[in-house]
Amino acid sequence: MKSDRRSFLKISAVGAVAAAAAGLPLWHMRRAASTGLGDGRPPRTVAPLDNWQDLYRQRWTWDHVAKGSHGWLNCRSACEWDIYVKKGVVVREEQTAQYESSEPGVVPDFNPRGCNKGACYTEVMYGPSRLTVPLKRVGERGSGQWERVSWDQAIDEIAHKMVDIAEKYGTDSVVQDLGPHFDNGPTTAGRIRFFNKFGGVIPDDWAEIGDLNLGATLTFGFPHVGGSSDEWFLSDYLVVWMMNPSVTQIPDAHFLYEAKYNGAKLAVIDPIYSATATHADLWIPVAQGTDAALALCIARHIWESGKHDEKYLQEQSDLPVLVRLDTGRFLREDDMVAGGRETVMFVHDRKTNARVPAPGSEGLTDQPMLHLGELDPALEGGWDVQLADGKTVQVVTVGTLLREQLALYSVEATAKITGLHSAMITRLAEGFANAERPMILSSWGSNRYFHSDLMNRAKILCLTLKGAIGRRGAGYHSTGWFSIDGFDLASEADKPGVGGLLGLLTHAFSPGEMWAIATDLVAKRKTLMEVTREQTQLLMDKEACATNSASINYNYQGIKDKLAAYQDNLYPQPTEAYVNEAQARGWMPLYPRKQVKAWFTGGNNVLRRTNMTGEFMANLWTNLDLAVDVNPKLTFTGMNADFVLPAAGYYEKPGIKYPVAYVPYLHYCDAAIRPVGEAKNEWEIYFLLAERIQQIAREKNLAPFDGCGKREIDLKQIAERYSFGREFGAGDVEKVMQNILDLSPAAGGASVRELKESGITKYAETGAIAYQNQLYNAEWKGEGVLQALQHFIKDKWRWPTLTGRQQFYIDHPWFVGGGESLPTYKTSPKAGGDYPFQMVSCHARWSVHSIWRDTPMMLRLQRGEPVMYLNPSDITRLDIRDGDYAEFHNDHGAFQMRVKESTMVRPGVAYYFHAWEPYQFKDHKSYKWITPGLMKPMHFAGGEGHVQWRFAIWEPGSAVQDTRVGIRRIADQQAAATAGGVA
Amino acid sequence: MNRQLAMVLDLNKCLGCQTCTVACKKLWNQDQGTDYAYWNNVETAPGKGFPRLWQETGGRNADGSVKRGEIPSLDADYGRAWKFNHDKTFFKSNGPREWLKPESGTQWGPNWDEDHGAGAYPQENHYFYLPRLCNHCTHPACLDACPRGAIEKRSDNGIVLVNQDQCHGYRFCVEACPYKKVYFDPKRQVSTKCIFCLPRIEEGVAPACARQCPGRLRFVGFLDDPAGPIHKLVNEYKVAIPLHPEFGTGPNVYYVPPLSPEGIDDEGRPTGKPRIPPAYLESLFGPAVHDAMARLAAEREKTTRGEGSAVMDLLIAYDWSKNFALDDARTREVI
Repeated sequence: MKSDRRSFLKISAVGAVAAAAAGLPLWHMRRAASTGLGDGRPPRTVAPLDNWQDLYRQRWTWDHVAKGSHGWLNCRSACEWDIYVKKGVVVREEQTAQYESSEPGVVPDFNPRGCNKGACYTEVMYGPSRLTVPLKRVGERGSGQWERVSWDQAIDEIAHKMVDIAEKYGTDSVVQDLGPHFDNGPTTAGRIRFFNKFGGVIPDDWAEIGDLNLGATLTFGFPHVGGSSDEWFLSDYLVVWMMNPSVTQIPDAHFLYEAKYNGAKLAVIDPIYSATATHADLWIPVAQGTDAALALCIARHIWESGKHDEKYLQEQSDLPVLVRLDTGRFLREDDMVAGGRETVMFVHDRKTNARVPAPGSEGLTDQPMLHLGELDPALEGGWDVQLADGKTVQVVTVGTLLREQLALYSVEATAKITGLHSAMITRLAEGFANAERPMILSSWGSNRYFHSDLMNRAKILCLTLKGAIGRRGAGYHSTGWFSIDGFDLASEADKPGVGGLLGLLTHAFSPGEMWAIATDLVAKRKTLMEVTREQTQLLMDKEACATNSASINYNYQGIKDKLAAYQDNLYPQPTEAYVNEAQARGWMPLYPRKQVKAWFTGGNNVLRRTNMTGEFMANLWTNLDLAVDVNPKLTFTGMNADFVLPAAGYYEKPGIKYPVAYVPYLHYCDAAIRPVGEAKNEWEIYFLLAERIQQIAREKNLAPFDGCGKREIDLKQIAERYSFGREFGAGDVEKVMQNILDLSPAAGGASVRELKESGITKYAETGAIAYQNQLYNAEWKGEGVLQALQHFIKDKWRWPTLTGRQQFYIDHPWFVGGGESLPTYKTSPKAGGDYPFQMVSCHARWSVHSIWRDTPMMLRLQRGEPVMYLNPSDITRLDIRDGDYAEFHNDHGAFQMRVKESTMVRPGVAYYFHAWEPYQFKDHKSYKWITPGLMKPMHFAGGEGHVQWRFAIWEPGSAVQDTRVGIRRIADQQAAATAGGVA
Repeated sequence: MNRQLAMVLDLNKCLGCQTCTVACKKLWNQDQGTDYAYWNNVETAPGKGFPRLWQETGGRNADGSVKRGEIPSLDADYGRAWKFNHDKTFFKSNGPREWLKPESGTQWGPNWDEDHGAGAYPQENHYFYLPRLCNHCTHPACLDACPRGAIEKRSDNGIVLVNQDQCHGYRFCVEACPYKKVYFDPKRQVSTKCIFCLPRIEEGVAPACARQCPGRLRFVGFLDDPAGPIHKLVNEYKVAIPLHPEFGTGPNVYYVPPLSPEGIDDEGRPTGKPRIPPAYLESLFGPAVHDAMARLAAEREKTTRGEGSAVMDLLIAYDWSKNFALDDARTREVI
């Protein structure tokens, strides 16, 4: 980056956001004017019934076609659809399929994208659980007794209740459960914006649902790694490891199978013979939960056979960094000299036979680059070192420690752990070691074991040893993200446009802090990305009432004893001691500070999702004074709420599908029709709520609240603040959308008007706010296969870790004490007790979470009810028949579910595809009631380097894959099929 | 001029995602009488399929004579389109609260044995997805069986159609089709079947099942078009072969047969042999499957060595729009 006048402009506004916007001085004039319901597509009609064939021709007709996608949906894909409307009704959808190849002739194009679910969202939109009018509970929660109320009444009663709760318990007793469903358009921005302005709490649940790659965060400093999915095609050795793209990444999976035709080998490591494994060259049926051992064995083979990339490891990894043997801590400058910097580590230079500060160390603030220059750091070795206090201690490199660790994972030892034959392990290890471009695909679902972080750290180690991370056609793919910067601003800023950004920053930062940011950049001590990452974090710390779902659950769900029973034997301290320490030291924020009194779900189904649901409902939910679900459809959570408010569906409001990096296009969602029934988009719903709350607050002349103790919340101004100072009205959702586009450099200046026609636009760049954007390729400008991480590999900036390197050694005292400073294999704890089956889940082919779970068209393509997949040998042994109801039980209780036999399932595994609604089970109790969802105490750690809480980057979560169950035959199938239990 | 439209499905790219099934269903078969019908379905092979055991009821006897065939049962072999009890699940009613399930029992369905497969874990368990639609046969058994002459095979594109005015609902065609791809509509009392998305074909747009397939495994075009993908894959490269050629109807839907991961011996060692038994593939695709598999393997060897392969390039589908070679070029965009 050049430090010219233009850069300084960027700097002073913190980020390219402002620069891009500043480059468009008339941005506010560019708002699209059209509010039509999809225009420009010619209608198609045929002559009515001239002959019988016209009966068919009639079906393929339409009045108009809008461009749309499934914006609100937490689907890791993005696909653009033509939405066909006939007489005001959306009749069907079909992919637009207008993508280009990133590099024609080199990689295949992205067309047509889409899946079975996207192809029938209309079935959900007009389905039996669609909400069309506001409902108010009249019986007990969950009793199924409702009355239809007007929007005015619903908004008025909810607003009064919220003000009452704020007065009694503070605004931070109101929780808006953030995700996982959200788009990057104005409706989700409105939802987040409202709760920001209200002073409510927004917890992230990425880790709590088991989707956050904390192993990647420990290694890279961020969890989301990877560029566009066409990069898969360029690999010569693909390892799909804890992922099932045939089922969970349908629009992109073709690149894998096309890569095979291109000469690549495909290995699939999975205890299940999955729909992806069927396409493998080599399927490795690893015992569930033993993946870390297999990875460490591969790593050992790579190193022992000399296939590792020494130069890369010297520069990019922490292998040369020195560790004190007496403490297990990195050797730090303040060990060596009094007053030295705590976060400067060392390497041993072979050329000069001297210890030198390790390039990349967090404390080397003036030297942010990884260039080694003349240095030749030793990867292995040990030395005596005299400390400042005169004591002599032994230090060794991380590489030496790692080498010792890997020695435990011989092929023979690994065979015993993994249940694999040594010939199978050797085949895999040799294939991987000999590959030029090895690549590992690891899904969000790879984070659902208690020890998933260890597994992913070990998997990444294999790639780093090969120097594959950041190499074209190689490396780690766990889903990168573009950044829709305008979305973040629309969620928070008080004014639209650049003014809002500046206001946000000047409000949050003192002039001195702003100056420090600027000088860091000018002196090239930090990159723009680092600065924006740090500042966003600072902003979160100073302003946001943000926390994570696991922290709320741990404190308010009433599960401490249950968790203690399953996991307190695993570490030196009991879980509660770790959590208490984290909270006492301020490592892990916990809001609400006192009680949870109101719960809003707008993008999720918390009572479907939360582990140990019975405890959640009995302790947290019953304590609520207000539970509101804002949702296009009735869910189990809505069934147990006080109000359900009908939100507009995916084709009924403008939006932007969230920007996964797999497909480098912005996907616009147009409103093809007006909202069904009385449904409203969320921008408008929260606008109305803000207006009513403001009126009540003014009538009562309410004094400002303290939010969550960070800033003043004046409800007398909430509508003013929500509406950007009356810049936008309740019906201005498209104008807000244009504002988001204008402030998003990645959108490349796209307008709503253009997007209504095109549906998609190629991202112009990856976006600026590093908080979301973990692509780390600032040079990508919409051309070519998108490769992530070039910032570190090509440009040699330090990684956002303590050592500034891909870090395999974590010297946080908890990790050292817990035996997890290095990647290691630990057995899966028996959550739920000692029972013969391990209950393992995968995301479903048939639904994205619970959205399509009750849709008849989808259920007819399954068995109509939830099923547990079991191996035929287990079914026979248990004396169960395919299709029978069986009882699944552990120390925590029991539930009933139908059984389906399948040869894909490993004996001893009970396998299910997730997100069935509890109301699809007898007594409305699902497997979640007996799934403990262990919480790894290490993930509450903070205070050191990159091991510190960051929203949706480092946070505790819960693990479902360690759950053990027993299975009992139910003799009386007639009785099992009889309803009962729920009053 | 007699021309034949045909489709090639590359089973090595099929995800089993059923987008094709849903695309077809949404467009053509949501009426009361056809709600149970799936002109396009995807079944897990080995398996009983849809309708249940269809492969065992058609074709020819050992002496070469044509089997009489059977009409599948709506509940036991197809599976009725189940209705669900949403209201009794969501809202308070007189009886106990129900949980969501089909209101009448279930015996079979269009994807009943999904992912079931065959073989002992982990040595030889195997399955693959087999998408099926009407084969628009050169010698359609359904056409021959219709006493009304209500079934025609169009000369301009070879699509086989049941004339909905002329059909009297005798169901001889349902019985005769060895692939069980003609469905009886009990509401309208006529037979219906895949029309190869005729209204789309008339506009140069590929059938919905093919154009909406995210696995990009379907190719559509005229069999006699030397520049198109079908002729190349079927006649020139000979990697695409019909399903059950022994049924003798001359199917015009072709499959690139499935490769599979190595099997594992009883000790856990990779065997170097594919999991799917070649004999099983032969039972589906006839003896030609072995040559087709060998050609695929040889072509893949070429790309592994870094050499070019026109066969692999075509199957990779660098430019997806070229999967479809219809009469005009309007295949990229639905008009």
